[in-house]
Amino acid sequence: MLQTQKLDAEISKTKTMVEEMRSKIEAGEKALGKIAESESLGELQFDIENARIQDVLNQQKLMEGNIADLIIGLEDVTEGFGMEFQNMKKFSFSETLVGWFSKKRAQAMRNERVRTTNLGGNLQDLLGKSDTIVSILKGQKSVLEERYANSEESLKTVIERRKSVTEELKATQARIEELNPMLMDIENQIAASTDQAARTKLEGERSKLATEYNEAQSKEQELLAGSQTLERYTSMFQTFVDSLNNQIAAQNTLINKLSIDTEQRIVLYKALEDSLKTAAQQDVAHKINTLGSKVDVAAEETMAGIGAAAQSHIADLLELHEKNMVSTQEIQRRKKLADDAFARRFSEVLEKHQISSYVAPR
Amino acid sequence: MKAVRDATLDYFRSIDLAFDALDRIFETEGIWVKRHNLIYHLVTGHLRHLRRAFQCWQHRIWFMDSFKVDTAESGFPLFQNVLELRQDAIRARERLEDLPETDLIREEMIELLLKFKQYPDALQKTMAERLYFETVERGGLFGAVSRLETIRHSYNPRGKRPYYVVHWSAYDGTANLPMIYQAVIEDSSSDAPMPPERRQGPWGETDAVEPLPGLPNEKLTAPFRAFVENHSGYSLTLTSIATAMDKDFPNLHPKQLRRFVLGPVYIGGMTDHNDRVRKLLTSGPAIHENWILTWTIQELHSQESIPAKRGLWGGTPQKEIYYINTDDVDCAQQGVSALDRHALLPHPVYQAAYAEGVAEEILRGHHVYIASGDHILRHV
Repeated sequence: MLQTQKLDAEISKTKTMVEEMRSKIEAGEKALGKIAESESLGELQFDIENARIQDVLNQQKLMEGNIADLIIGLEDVTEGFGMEFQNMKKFSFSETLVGWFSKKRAQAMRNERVRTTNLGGNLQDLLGKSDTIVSILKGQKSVLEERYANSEESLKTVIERRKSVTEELKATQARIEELNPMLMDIENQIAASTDQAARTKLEGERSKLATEYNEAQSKEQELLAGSQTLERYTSMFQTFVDSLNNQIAAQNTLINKLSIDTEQRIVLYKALEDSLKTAAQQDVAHKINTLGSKVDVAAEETMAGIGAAAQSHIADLLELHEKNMVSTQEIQRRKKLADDAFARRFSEVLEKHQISSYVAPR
Repeated sequence: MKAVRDATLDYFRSIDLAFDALDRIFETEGIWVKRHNLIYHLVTGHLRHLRRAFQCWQHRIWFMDSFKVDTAESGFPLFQNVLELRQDAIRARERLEDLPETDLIREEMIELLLKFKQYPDALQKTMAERLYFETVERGGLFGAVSRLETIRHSYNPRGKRPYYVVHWSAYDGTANLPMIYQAVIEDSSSDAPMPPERRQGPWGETDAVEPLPGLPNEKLTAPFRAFVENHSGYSLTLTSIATAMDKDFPNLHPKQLRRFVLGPVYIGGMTDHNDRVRKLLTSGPAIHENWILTWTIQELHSQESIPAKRGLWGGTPQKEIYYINTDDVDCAQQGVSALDRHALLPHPVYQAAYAEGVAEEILRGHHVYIASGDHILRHV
């Protein structure tokens, strides 16, 4: 049935990708959670976790691209339906041949062809596919929102830790500032003293102060290294949270676009099918059966215009038309907004599509 | 948000009340009007399917983001919803396996209410989803085109041919209206089955006949079904459908074709079509029930048939000529032999219309039924 088999394969591929991505995001988030709570701040661990988070982000980008492919593929399939309608409106080759001899006969042949074309199944199929894609997107969105909430919490914890570490560092540095002149003082006193007993006492004090000073210095280095690591962690977390935010927005755009597209498609498709079939049939049937041999559409309308009953009927029809135009305009407006947002976000994907066909080569 | 939720529940409640009154009419209408006896009997069956579909949609609104209703033309839900019911019927089983059992959800809800004193919003959605898929799985819902069924298989002694009375239902995609068709078709093929012998009781034939799916003539069932799927639109006149049927099946001769179109329905505060009705239903003191349900029965019968010609250079099959009542403008425009419009409205609405003096203009040309409590008033 047109290109829907290829679309089926694409959809199942995307489903597996979503599952993979879900597990990867879980792993990444667990890693980040561990970091937020862990006491030690090992450098080695950091690089591994960084790589894992990068992995998740790349996977997400791939995922997004794939879903945009699916949507464009769906649009391609719809274009295919449009082609079918075009074919129904035009004369086929044999019909044109017959048309050279008798216009009426050619039209009758085309009417037969239009009358017996069955288009019902395709529409159901299209709706099913678009529903599946929307449910994939919605599932993905709920995963993202969950992770976003959790990651925000972890980010807050890391920022708190960094603050406390920075405060501790400041305190240590202040202590070192205090100890420095005190040490110098005692050294001067030792150099100036002559008494052995006083000297011994001063040396004892000096060694105490020196130990304290050394400890403070090593602690300062440790805290500095820790603070720098936490800074890197914070920026890493921030990237992750920002990216999740972006992805949630992108997801909303996609879901919006797809829902409006499907809605519009069904209405349009049905109306097209109806109008083509009606036009083909009514003409013929009325000509055979009703008001004489040559029934003119204009004559019918004139007849319908006669009489008070018919007049109010026409007024009702006009009111109806206005309501329909309004609703069509509304749909058009929403579609335009969604289309613009979509194009903005996936301009690269669209570009790639312009160059080559997306859903496997025909 | 709450206003939208209330408006939606109002919509379903009004439709329920309208269908209840409709059921009551159909129970007894056959007695009043002999001619319509059979069609009302058929319509009740299809109406049951339609009501089940509405029940499904009522569950669906609890967990879906949006539900589209055609407020500009017919007042019924959009065709997309009918297609989605069929989609969901296919995957109902796997969804049901994912969702927890109803009893479990109920227990959790009670726990949430009593222990934690919170409103169980998310659990409501899960429960609604569960009920929705259970109802959908049970089947028997109104679809885009229903199964074909023969309810009478008889013999015409004058033409010496068997005839079938078949019926099917369809939901029009462009006008968003549910319709029910009934056709009386004579079969002149050589292998047309004769009607089965019916037992003779002491007071005539016993009337226990089972409806058959499809046509009694096995060979024509599949192509006829394909024909029905293609030709059930509301925009096709009965003449087009009957002529096409005549042309496509040289051995089937449709003698009578009836179409029962349910709608449009006007719900106060929701539907936009027909200004006068809208003003009536929304203005004035707050009426508890403010809806009007209309339906149309179109009928086409054949007035003569041109016999088949058989000659050396091929022949033409038998052709039916249908009678179109050209005296009546509406009949002529819609290509039918007879047209009946009916309107059903609750008592307070009729009183309000009469008080404002618009009852005559709005209900001109319709057979009026007034639903007042459990009674139906006719012949006003």
